[in-house]
Amino acid sequence: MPIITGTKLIGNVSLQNLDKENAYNESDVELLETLVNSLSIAIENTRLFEETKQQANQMSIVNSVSQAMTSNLDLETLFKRIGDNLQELFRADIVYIAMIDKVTNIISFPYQYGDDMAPMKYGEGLTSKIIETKESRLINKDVQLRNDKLGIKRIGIEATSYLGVPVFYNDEVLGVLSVQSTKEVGRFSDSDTHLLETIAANVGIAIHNAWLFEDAEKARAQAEQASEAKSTFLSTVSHELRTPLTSVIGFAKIIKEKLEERVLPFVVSDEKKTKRAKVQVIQNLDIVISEGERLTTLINTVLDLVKIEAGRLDWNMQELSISTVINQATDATSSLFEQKSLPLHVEIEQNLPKILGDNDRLIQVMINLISNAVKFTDEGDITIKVMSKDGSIQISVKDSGIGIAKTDQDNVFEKFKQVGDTLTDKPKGTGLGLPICKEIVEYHGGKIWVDSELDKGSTFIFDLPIDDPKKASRQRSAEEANTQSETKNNGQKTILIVDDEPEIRNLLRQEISEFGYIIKEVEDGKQAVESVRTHQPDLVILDVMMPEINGFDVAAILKSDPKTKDMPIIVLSIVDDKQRVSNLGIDAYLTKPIDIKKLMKEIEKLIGKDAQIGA
Amino acid sequence: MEDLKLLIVDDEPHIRMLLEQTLEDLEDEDVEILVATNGQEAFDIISKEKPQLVFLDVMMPKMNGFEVCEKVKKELNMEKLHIVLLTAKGQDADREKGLNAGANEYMTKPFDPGTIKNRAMTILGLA
Repeated sequence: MPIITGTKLIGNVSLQNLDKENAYNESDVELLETLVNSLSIAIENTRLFEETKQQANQMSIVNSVSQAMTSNLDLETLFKRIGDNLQELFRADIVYIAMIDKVTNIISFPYQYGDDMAPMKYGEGLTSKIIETKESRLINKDVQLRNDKLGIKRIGIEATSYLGVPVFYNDEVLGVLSVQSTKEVGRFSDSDTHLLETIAANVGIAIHNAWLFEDAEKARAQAEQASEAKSTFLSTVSHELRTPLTSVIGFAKIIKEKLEERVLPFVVSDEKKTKRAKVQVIQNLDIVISEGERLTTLINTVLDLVKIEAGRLDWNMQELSISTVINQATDATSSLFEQKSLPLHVEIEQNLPKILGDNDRLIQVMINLISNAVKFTDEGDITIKVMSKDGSIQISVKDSGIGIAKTDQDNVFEKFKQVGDTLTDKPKGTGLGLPICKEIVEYHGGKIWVDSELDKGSTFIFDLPIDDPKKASRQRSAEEANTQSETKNNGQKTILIVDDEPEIRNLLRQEISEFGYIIKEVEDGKQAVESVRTHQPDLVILDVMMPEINGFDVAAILKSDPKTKDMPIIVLSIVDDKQRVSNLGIDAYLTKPIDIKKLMKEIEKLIGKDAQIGA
Repeated sequence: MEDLKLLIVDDEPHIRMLLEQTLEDLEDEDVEILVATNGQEAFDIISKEKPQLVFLDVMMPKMNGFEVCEKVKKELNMEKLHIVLLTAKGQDADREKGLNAGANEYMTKPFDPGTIKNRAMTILGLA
């Protein structure tokens, strides 16, 4: 009796009796029919169950392949994952992934299992045929015979069953996935072909993504390299420009000094031209020196801009009073106003809160804006206004100069762009001042803009965000502490001078005590720490290179102790280590040789009568 | 008292001249001024003449300023030697490197002759 599942004959059941004729009757036939029917249903069920199980298994592997493909952007790992999964899924003796390079026409095998093929020329082997025809190939027996008929050369180990499918991205064939058996004939089915094609479609997308990722990585690395090259170039250019400048400025200064001290006093003549020449040579040398210094500033400006852009500028962010910044900037630019006889008005709102900023850089912004205002103004006046507005401090510099046309206003903050016609209007300056201002203001979290009308003048405005309230309360408690210490010496404040050189201590004592401060001195770091703890001075002036404990270590000890952390420290050093100074929270630092005027300014700023923040 | 000596090191002839003229008045104080045109020569002079002060350029052929500092620190036991590096601004990382290599301080080019002279006087104890 036949066993049939669906329409397919899958076997026979036969009953035979060797002893008796007519051993079976109709009812036996019916019984057997019923049994065979049940048997075929059971077989079909088992087959369906196996098939479902296998499908589930395949689905899970396909899933894992897809996952590997989406999560792996590195090609090498990607190929390895895909290959290993194919091997597991198809239980294949040979698995390979072939990729074609369309430029060189070379097929390479980034993944091979069970075989070891060298890269080959496109045109050889079954792989080339699949790439050429863009069609899958399933060969379940006589693999070589068929290949021979098609004129395909055998590459690698001979297979008994071969399945290969093209890997596409859009319509382009990128390569081939192949699974093979070396032992079994008829190993792969049409459904295997379908499954491998499904996987290949995903592989195509994954490879394309990995390529995109690789390209992006390459572009990023190139950009980094370019930026590095730019920095090196600028560093070299800086060096090459400075060397001649050093000679120009240096020799001009020496010549001037020698002329003034050794030569000109001995040129005694009443002759008019000689008298005039004596004045002129000195004037001319002054021009050489000041122009040389102008060039130096320009080089520094360009370097600053590059460094800001590359994120390599050292910032010294600290709590500061904007009015001090304004005062320092107006001091530095006072000669410009005198030269042009322009009046300057400064209006600063009372009781402005402190902000977090880089003092020197903000002064740089103000100097730039003020110099521009003076440069483009021939008559009228210049007004600086500072006020708080919407959680920020707003600073404006207004002039009554030539103004900027509406169309040019966007360009003024662009690098190397100067407004106006550069053929008729001689460019004044570098065109880098405002772009640097913009970078500095933006680093502080503020913004800068211009409001201007041609022939009526310009107002440059920038704002700087005010610190969080926590900082404000810290300032208040510091101020209270300051008031207390102020009362303990009848209003006189104490300054501790720490320096191992007695001459320097002498000099500082003489100069500073003139301003009504009480001076204490120690000669090394160890004594400094002890003295601060015992006497609680209002301010410490600290040398860096000293025996026992160096100045930076003293500062670190004082700044980490809650009792002394708010005590202002001024470092006087020959070592220009801004980064370290800022990391340690040192309040001010000045380089030696000592500039007493600057030092007194810092002291006044930190603990003087007008200081908003004291000990 | 030991003889005072200072060494000028720069491969640029003009800068050497400038430093020599800047520091020439120190000869009145019996300071001997020595000159080297590259790093190797500088090292040789330092080990032979034992100067108290060196003004040392960084970018030089043969042996750069950092290498000179390191070699001096490693091979010569000269606690009293004071090295002033002459660097270009824009090379901050290099400056740190120089100080780590054993230089005592640095000055940026273009430098001011007056400042260089004052520093030399102070370091040599003549100020």
